[in-house]
Amino acid sequence: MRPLGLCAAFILAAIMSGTVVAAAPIAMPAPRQTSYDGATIVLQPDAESSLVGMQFFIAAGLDRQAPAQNGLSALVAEDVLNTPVGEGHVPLRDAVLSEGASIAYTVDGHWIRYYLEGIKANFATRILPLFAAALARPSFDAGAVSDARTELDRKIAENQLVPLTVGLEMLNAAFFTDSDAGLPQYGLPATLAGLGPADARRFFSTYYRRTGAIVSAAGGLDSDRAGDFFTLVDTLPPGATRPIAVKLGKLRGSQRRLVARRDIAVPWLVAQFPAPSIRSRDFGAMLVLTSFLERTASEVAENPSVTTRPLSDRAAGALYNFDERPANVVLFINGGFGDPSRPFSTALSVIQIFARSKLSGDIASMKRIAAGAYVDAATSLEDRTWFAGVFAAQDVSPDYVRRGLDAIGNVRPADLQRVARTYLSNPNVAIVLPRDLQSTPS
Amino acid sequence: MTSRAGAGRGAASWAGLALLFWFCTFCVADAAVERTRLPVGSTVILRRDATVPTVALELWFRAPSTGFGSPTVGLARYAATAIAASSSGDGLSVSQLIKSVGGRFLISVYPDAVSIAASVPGGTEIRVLKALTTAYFSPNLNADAMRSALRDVVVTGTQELLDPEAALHDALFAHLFSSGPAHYATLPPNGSLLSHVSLVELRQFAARAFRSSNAVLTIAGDAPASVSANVAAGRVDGLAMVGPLDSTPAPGATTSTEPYAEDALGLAWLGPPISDPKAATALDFIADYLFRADTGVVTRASLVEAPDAVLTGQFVTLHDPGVMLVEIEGKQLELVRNSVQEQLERIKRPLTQSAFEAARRAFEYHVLSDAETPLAAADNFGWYAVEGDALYAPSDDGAKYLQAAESLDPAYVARIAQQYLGTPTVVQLKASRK
Repeated sequence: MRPLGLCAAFILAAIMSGTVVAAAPIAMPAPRQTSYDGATIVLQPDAESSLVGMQFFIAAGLDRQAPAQNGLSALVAEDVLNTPVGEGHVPLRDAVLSEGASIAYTVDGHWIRYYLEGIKANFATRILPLFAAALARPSFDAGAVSDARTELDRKIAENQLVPLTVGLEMLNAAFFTDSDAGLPQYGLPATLAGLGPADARRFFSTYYRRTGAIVSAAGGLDSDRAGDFFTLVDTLPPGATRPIAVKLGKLRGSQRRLVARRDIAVPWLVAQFPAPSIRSRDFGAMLVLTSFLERTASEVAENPSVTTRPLSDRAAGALYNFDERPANVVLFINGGFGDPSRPFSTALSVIQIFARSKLSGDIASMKRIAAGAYVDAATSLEDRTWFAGVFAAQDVSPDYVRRGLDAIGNVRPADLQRVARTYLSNPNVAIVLPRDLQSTPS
Repeated sequence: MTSRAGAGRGAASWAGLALLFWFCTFCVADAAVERTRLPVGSTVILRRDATVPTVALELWFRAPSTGFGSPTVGLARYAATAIAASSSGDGLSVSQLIKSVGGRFLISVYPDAVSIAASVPGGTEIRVLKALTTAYFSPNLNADAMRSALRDVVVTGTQELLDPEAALHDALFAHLFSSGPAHYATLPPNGSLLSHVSLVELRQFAARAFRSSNAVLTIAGDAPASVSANVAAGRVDGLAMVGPLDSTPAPGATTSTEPYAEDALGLAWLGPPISDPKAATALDFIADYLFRADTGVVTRASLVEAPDAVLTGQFVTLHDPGVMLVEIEGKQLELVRNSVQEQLERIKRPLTQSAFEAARRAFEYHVLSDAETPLAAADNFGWYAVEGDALYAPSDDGAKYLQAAESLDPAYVARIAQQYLGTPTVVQLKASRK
């Protein structure tokens, strides 16, 4: 444990410089939301943009597959991207590229999310119809499924070299006890080997449904063009689906630690805490605490740097996964600059002080930094469509900038205390070690 | 080598006009990108976008990374970092100020230029712009800031040492150019090379490199139209911007092997100058078609043949000459190299018209996508301005770059490949075998 003097110094630093910069409020145009036959369409038009980005959220993620089917959601998405479309009858991902666009997918706990981005001039007339065609008649023949499986095996092997992903997969498996949302996103080679065209076809026809789907688009769109996306929604049959019902046991014991060894250079420590949802009154306070947690851990793990290090070079970081159900906060620290348990225990000590005693100073500085980090995550078309879609998915206004900044702005010292006490104690911890390292961080 | 006189004359004439007006916009009237020359001599390039919640502010200076005198590897980075770490009147350094508003602060050093970048929430840009320009146009260096900066530079240099892509890049440039800033790495391998630099030497470099009249200020994002009125008043020295800093190409292609922690292979060719935008764009097209992550012809083939390989390829647009680079990491270097060479031979024959049209649409999309965020757009403006053709920036709404892309045809691309992509300079990094 770090001496309390150091912890107090962090808290003092957090509340000291409260009057340095008073930022003017950010006034961005609010996204426009439309309902269409059970689906939701959210648009953020920007006449100046040369590109359009669109996320299509379909409730066919990890929680729609049983453990023995792990990887099925990703397998189906790979097949959709490989479905031959257009005049040339070429795979969707190549067909959109030829029209000046790209398409990719992400498997979330609840959603499969497709992200389509392309040149404005072609988007509605040439690019979007290609995606709609693939969704209307996806190809699940044996060759396509085999190719998809090969691609997923490659991605799984790649992920095993990413310590944060290895740690998160272990933690998620223990965290999501009411659904299969904690399964690995691409599955396991063993489960994939047992999946064939009939499984893919059945999964697609069961879970690719219109009700609850979300289209979130931004960029060079006209504000009245929600209709451009009706055709895409129409490719899905009507109806809603439910997650597979499961009840998994929670990790027990005073030290809830999971350990894995991989071919990596330095040890990693990854901790996961439960967190409030976007709808909760605690949302803003958790944004502030997550930002503070990240800075505290970073400054102990490595000396404060003059420049901002890119994420890949950072010794520590914290992520607030408010898009997940239930939401959670992840703190990660790598051993690139020394033993990761030292900054970890300092961060936990500081949080415990927050939980035990209400701050008496001005927290404006903490809030300002949290607000800056929040908006900094919303600059690309992909990020902006993700934010609006995530907010719409939780039945709150998709005006994510205003809502997030208001939530942060309304945080009081008592909120920080309550939220630290409620959520940030006794996390599950994953330790990912290099194969040849004998000792385990304490 | 291209004459630097043109840029110098242009800059001087604009400085003269600036004595009459605070601002004089010299872009087309209805363009979204505004260009201004300030009385202090700085050029401002501004693209406003009210649909994003952040503002990117960047200061670009033409300056040799190794200093103006005998080469000191890392000097420009050291000076730029020390200024960022120096406290201002209110007790905060520029770096601390930007972090206190939840922003990001970045320093990038290239052989011929230094970029100081901040990405900050909308509403804080005026305060940050004042602080940035005050700090760099009137540097206030001290010993404490030097200590912080040296530590930061050494950590960054150590991280770069562990990155095979950066090691290959430095080694290839060292062989492509026999002298000049491009011959040297921009970061030192350890602190000893910089520890002998005195405060006086650092101040001298900063005073010459970070003059307001040697600066291009690029701004993108949710900024007010009048944002550049908040540039700090610096010295009006009447001097021109430093001319583009070219290096001397080596007499011919070479092949060399160097020790490193792991095996890697790099290939490089000298390419056209920025003054030949059609040829430079053709090489950008070739790099995108063959080597783009996920979509390049060679990249995709290597995913199947050598799944553990990491392949990157790009054309670096420089004042004169540009450089084409291909870097390969992984266990099957020769296999991927053969694939690279096979595809380079193929591109020397014209693609079919339909394949070419499809590849060009993908290329144009990638160009736009790569400059999409405020920080990427500001970066883009700054880079092309210091290399000598601000209007050629892909994020410029004058669309000079996209017009060059539209003017390409299969035969021209093949001819440019034949002209420039002959025998490469090769660097092989070799791990010692126990």
